[in-house]
Formats: sequence, structure tokens, C-alpha cells
Amino acid sequence: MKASFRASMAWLHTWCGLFAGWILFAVFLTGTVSYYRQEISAWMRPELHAGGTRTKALRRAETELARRAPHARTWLIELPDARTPSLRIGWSDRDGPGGFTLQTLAPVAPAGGEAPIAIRRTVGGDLFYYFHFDLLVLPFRLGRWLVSLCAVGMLVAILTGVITHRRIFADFFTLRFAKGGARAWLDAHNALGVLALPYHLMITYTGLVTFALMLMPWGIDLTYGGNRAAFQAEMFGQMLPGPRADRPHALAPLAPMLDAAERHWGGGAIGRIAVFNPDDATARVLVTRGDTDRIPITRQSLLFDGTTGAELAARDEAGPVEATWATLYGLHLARFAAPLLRGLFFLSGLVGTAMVATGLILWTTKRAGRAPGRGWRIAAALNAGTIAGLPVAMLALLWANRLIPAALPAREVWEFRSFFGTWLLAFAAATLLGRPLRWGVPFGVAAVLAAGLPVLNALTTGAHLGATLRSGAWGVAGVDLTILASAPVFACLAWMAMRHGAPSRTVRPPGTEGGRVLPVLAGTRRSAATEERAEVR
Amino acid sequence: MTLLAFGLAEAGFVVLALAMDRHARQLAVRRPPTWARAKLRAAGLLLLLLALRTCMSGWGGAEGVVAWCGVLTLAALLLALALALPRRVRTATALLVLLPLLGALLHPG
Amino acid sequence: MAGVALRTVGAVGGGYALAASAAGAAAVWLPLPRAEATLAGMLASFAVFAAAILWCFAARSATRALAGVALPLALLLTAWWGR
Repeated sequence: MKASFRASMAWLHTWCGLFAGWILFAVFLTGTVSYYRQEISAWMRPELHAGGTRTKALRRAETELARRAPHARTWLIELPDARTPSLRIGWSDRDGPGGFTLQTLAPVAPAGGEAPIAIRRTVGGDLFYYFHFDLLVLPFRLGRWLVSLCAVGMLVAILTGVITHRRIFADFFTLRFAKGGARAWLDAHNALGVLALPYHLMITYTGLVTFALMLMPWGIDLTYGGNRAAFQAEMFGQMLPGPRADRPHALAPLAPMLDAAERHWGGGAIGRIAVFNPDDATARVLVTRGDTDRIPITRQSLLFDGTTGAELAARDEAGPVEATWATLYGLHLARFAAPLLRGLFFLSGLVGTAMVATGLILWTTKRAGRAPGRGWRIAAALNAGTIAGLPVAMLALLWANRLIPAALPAREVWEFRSFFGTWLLAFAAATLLGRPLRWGVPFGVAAVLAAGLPVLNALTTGAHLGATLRSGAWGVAGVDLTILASAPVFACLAWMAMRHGAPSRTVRPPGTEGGRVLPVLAGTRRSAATEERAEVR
Repeated sequence: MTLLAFGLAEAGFVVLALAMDRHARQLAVRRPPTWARAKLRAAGLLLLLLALRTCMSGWGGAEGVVAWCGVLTLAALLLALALALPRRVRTATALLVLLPLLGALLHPG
Repeated sequence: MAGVALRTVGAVGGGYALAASAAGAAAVWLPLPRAEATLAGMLASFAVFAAAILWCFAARSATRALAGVALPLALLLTAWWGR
């Protein structure tokens, strides 16, 4: 390709990174906040008050489902846990994953006679979660393939980045912001990449593993004659019950079955509960083990006779390969992570996001000195629209959650529209505005939105910081506090973009480039430059 | 436990940085002689391994390793940021951070 | 330019084909229960994909790049007939 192996790999790193970069940035940022998907979902349902035992929630689920869908083929129950204050129920009249009607409820039924508390319909933190792997484009398979292709690009970019990096150990902690321009961006890109390298590799590879069945089903064609359902049944132990006998029979209480399952797993957490043919003599209850108490997500489950509560079958065994797969899957989802560890995952995810962002900005900075061509202008606009625009869109979604009337029908569609509408607006701004403004305006707007959100929350709901901090609802309070803490960061970015991007201030010490883009990190320029000189001496 | 692991990791990275040319110049007045570098490197790695042990005893085997990676990333990032600061600012910041940390570590329980 | 296009085709198309055939070969050839062997092939295939992409852009000429993908691909495809 190029003169040397290393030069070829550098070339591959540049172009692979550039073409996958914009999608990767969005995937990394939305994926990172998805570590707090449950907390964000709880924040977006301020009517929901925590409390209620598992027994009460289970009783409510049984009553609600028997009332709403007594003759369904399948019921689904997801009980509240430490991170999720809500109860989720669903029902379907046919087999397969589609066709479910899902509802989020308060875990405790309102006391007799009172009007039920209406919980606003919302996309919740699920919007970020789904966006990070299928981009919410239709058909969803296209989005998943696109994200997977970018993940392969990320894998290649990580490997080529390590190969290309000349002084990985000698420059381990090096950040020469003082030099400004491309040098500062390169140092930041290197440091963010190297210092969280195990995380980057892990999250990229495990991300591909979560889609392995969709991306690489070819082995199944050989060993199972193309029968993917048979493979899934054997691998993941799906225990589907038979057809209904049309002999009505009452369902046995579920609570003893959950207790039996917990005993079976040595105190392991309960995950999803599925009830098949709930009103029939053939009723079956499938209890799946939860994934919050250990890293591997193994598909352990117990099948009960729904009429007697007797244990019929257990799915336990995990071969070494399945155990590996389950560990990789579990590492990606990080549902096992306790608060502190979750915080470290979140931090590492932010580092990954920043690594992609600095890489993208580095590409435009390096090429800024030449006469900007069409490609450069497109890349620069996409950079601003993605890196500065996406945070604005995400904050706009949270604002929309509070501003759209809670009783509006189909209000979750308006939330969805406000997210994508704001992002489109940011792209339009990035295309139309000049150099400093296309970064300064969205970052400034993000700072205002982030600082204002806790205030808006206090004005529109009772679940504001004053209440949540006092009652110890740390999940919901944490969302407010994190967003509040991001406001000065956005303000800083906006200020630096305006300061360094303004044409009158492009006078630079000789030997530095980058008068064209924002040297966000060059704030310490003058004093640090003095020190750099002292060190050279 | 986490604080201890973090402190060990941070100390390990500082010692490792002392064994590196550029960073030794940033950190120390005089760069350590060649013979001291191998020892510094070994001491730094030892401190990082001690942090791993602390993580594993606090979080349990597999999760301990995951936590260790996160702690290492955090510690290394902070050191990189600190080294990018001008020297006087850096000393002041280090004292501001280290003193409460030391207090938390020495505090019983 | 044509060289880059060829390499890209070899990297993306050929790399995916190589990874897919490696997943198939592992499913057939690994001495494990068939579900385990099939899953093992899937898990490892992404590393094969990435390695193939690196190879396609590291090779001295586009022809060598394509040959380097095609040869192991042919070898692994025998798993489809050899079962």
C-alpha cells in the first residue's frame, strides 16, 4: 500500500476512523449514557414513586394481567429492582418476540377507590439504548448492520492505532496542550486511546458479539442445516410450551415459584417471568435468572407447571464456550456493575467518546492549512453537527419530556421528534454557520439546557433535586446532578471555541497550526508554553 | 477499598512515569540515573499489581479485574492531566487532592 | 486508486467471506458439542474479519492482498463439502 507497513496502517487508521467516526461517536455517547438507562427512564417518569415490595408488585402484575388479557398466549412480567422503580407487564396473543403490548406501571396499585396514578408515556432511556445499536432507522436490521460495520471499523482503527503509535510507552502520559493545533489534538487522541485501551477493545469486540447471531449465522447452516431456531433452542435452552388444551384452569400463585427459583440459584436474582396459556390446564411459567448479580449473562431458567406450581425442568448447564459468550455479553451490558463500578464504566465510555471526537477533529485540523476543498467542508460540518449537535439533541429530549403535557396522547412520538428535530437543526446550523459559531452556538445552547434542566424539573414536577436528595432517590438525583455538572463543561467548550476560533485571534506562536478549528484544550497555552521552554532547557 | 486501590494505582503510575524520560523531566528536578530506572519500573508495576489484589479482594475475582481496568484508566488519566498543568499549579492541585485522600485512607474504617 | 478500490473490496467483501467461512469451518471441525463449536466459530470470526482487513491494506500489492484472502477462503470452504 504505502512505503512501509506502518505507513499503510496509518493510512488505514485515518480513513477507517473518518468514515466510521461520526456514527461511532453517536454510538459511543448514547451507549455510554445507556449505562444509566434505568435511572434515565425513572427520571423521565416523575409520577412514579419508589416503594412497594416484590410481593405487592407481583400481586399487582397478576391482577392487572388477568384483568386486561386473561386469554393471552403469553404474559411477561418484569418486577421492580434496586435500579428500576417501575413494574413492567406485557401480553401477546401469539408466539415470537413481536406482538407484545407492553405497559409500565407503578409497583403498588393505588389504594382502593383512588384514581390510578397516570404515568406519562415516554420513550425513556430506551431511546438512547436502542439508538446506540440500531440508530432508530427503518428497517431496524439496516441500522444494526450499519452499526456493526462501524464497529468492525472501530476494531480495525484500534489495532492500526496501536501499530501506528510510535512511542506508546515513552509518551504514555503526554499531553502537550501548550503546542496547540494538531499536536495537542494528537496527544489527546493518543492518551484517550491508550489509557483506556482495554475498555475500547472490550466494548468494541463484545458489541460485535452481541450481534453474532445476526452477523455470522453461517456455522448454523452447516451444523444445524440452517435451522436457527434449533440452534437457539440447544444453545440458549429455550423452553417453549405446547399449544393450549382449551380446558380452563386457574393459575397457581407465582410467588412460591419465584422463591423456588431463588433457592435453585443459590439466592440469584429473578429476571423476567413468562407465563404461557395463563388460563388453561396447559399453563406453564418460565422464570429466567436475572443478570444483575454476576458478570456472565447465562440463560438459566426454570419451567413450572402453571396449575400446580410444580417444577418441570431446569436449564442450568453452560459449556466453556457458552460461558465465554455469556461473559462477553455481560461485560458489554454491564448490568452486573455496582454503583462505583458502573461509574468507572461510564467514565471509560466518555473516554471512548472523546477519543472518537478528538480523532475526527484531528482529521480536519491537520488538513486545515491547505485550501479547504469540498470534502474538508463536509467533514468539518459533520464534525460540528455530530460532536456538538448530539449533546444538544439529547438534552432537548429531556426538556421535551418535561414540557410536553403529560396527558397528551402519543406524547412519546413528540419526544422522539424533538430529539431528531433538534439534531437536524444542529446539522443545519453546522452547515450554515461559520467556523467559530458552528461550535460555539451548539455548545452554548447545551450549557444553557444542561444548567436549566434541574430548574425546569423543579418547576414542572415534584421529583426535583430538593425532593430526591432528601428521600435518597440517588438514581434520579444522579441524573439531575450529572447534567448539572456537564453545564460548565459545555460552557467551557463554547468559550474556547469562540475564543480560539475568532479570526482576529488566529495569531499563533510560530510552528503551530490549527488556526481554523477550535483548540478546545489549549486554554493553558501561555503558562504551559513557558513551562515547556523551561523543560527543554 | 476502592480508594486504596486508586491510591496504589496512582502511586504506581507516578513511579512508572519517573522511569520515563519525558515524564521524569516533568516530575523531578533531576532525572533518575539509568540504574534506578529498572528498579522504578519494577516498583511501579508492583504497585499496580497490589492495586489489582486490592480490587480483587474487594470486588471478587472477575469483577475485581474489570474494576482494576477502570481504576487504572482513571488514575492514568488524572496523571496525564496533571502533567499537562504548569508545574506550580500542579503542585498545588496535587496537595489539594492528596491530603484529603491520605486522610480518607488513614481514617479507620 | 484502482488498487485502493480492489483492496477495499477484498477487505470488506473478502474479509467478511473469510470470517464467515472460518465460523463455518470451526462449527464443523472443532471437537466440541455442535452448539458449542458453532458458537465458538461465531465468537472468533470477528477477529478473523479484522485481521483480513489489516492484511488487505498491509500487503505489498493489491493482487497479493486479494490472493492472501482467497487462498485461506478456498481452504476453509472445504468445510462446506467435507462434512
